[in-house]
Amino acid sequence: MAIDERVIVETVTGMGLAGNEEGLIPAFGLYLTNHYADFYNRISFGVLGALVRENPELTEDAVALLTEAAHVCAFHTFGGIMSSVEWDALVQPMIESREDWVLGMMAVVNAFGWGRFRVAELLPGERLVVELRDSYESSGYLESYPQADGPRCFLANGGMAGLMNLVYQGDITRRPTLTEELYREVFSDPRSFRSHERLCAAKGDSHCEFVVERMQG
Amino acid sequence: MSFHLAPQADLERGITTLGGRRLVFHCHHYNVFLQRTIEDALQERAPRLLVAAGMEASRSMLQGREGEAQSGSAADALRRAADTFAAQGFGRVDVRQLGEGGGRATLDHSHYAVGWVSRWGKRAAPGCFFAAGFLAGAVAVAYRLAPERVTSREIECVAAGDERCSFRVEVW
Ligand SMILES: [Zn+2]
Repeated sequence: MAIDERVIVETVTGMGLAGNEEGLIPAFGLYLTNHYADFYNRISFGVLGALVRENPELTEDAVALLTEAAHVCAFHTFGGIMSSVEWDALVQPMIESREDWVLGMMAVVNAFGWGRFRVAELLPGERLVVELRDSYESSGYLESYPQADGPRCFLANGGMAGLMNLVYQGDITRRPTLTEELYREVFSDPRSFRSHERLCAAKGDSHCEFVVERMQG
Repeated sequence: MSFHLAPQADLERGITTLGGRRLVFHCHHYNVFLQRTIEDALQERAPRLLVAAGMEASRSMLQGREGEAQSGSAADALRRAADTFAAQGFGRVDVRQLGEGGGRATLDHSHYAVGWVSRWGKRAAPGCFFAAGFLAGAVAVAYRLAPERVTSREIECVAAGDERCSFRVEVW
């Protein structure tokens, strides 16, 4: 059986992830929030704007900070999901290859409200190209700021690198413990993956597109 | 009453909305890491951005949702806001001492405090900025106040070693 995205999206949506009696959402070994896209966008673009206004030469550093937050997000969120009992019950039975871990995770993310991801190309162990429509970062950006001169989907971009790193660097299929040490080991490896947002709706493209490759091929 | 709390999902587009605003799932690792990144980068200016963003985001969602709600009572609107907050995974907030002049709110099981402590342990000062902003937004919407009149500050925080999180909302 191959990854059935529709079944995964409908099942995860149907889980009705909502606060328990404590007002918390423990799921996939994490505490989730069904948070406001407006909040993430304002604080991310707000801090970026403040740093760049003070010193335009800090642009790359500011983007690197937000990308790092996205790497941390992917490592723990995607890693947590791919190690969870929910994953075992829903996605694992559909998995036939290592690449299905990437496709299965992408299907789960499509139930998270981040927009619609579609894998355009997956070269095992080497390269991933993903299209994203209705990204909450680019659409939120365009609501509040003039058209951007560069890509703005920092979370989605770092997330794609994180996914490839989990599957092909950290070998999530062996269920490692998701420690800070493993995070550093995986992301500081010179052959680890980094993502580049080649197209972004925030800069006028029809959709967003991410190209994930190893730092040293 | 719970139909007010149900977000609407467009599975084809991967979009979920409540009160016309988009919702996205994220976990505590990202939430507290992003907050820490912003606190490190902006230092003493960070709380203002974090609280204002929380207020702006919750106010536009609650405004949109109150437009759909039937009951006109401000207390009902505050209660709905607290229910939404809990349904979204931020913790259980008691808003019964809030009124049109502001007041105090207490928060049990704050997501940000729980998340922060689980990742890094205690911090020196209160850290539930989003929750503070949310409460300001909820008061502004419930009493139809200009947002500039409402401020909110966390005065006790589990992440800073206090027994619970509590907030002082002021209406000017
Ligand atoms: Zn984009």
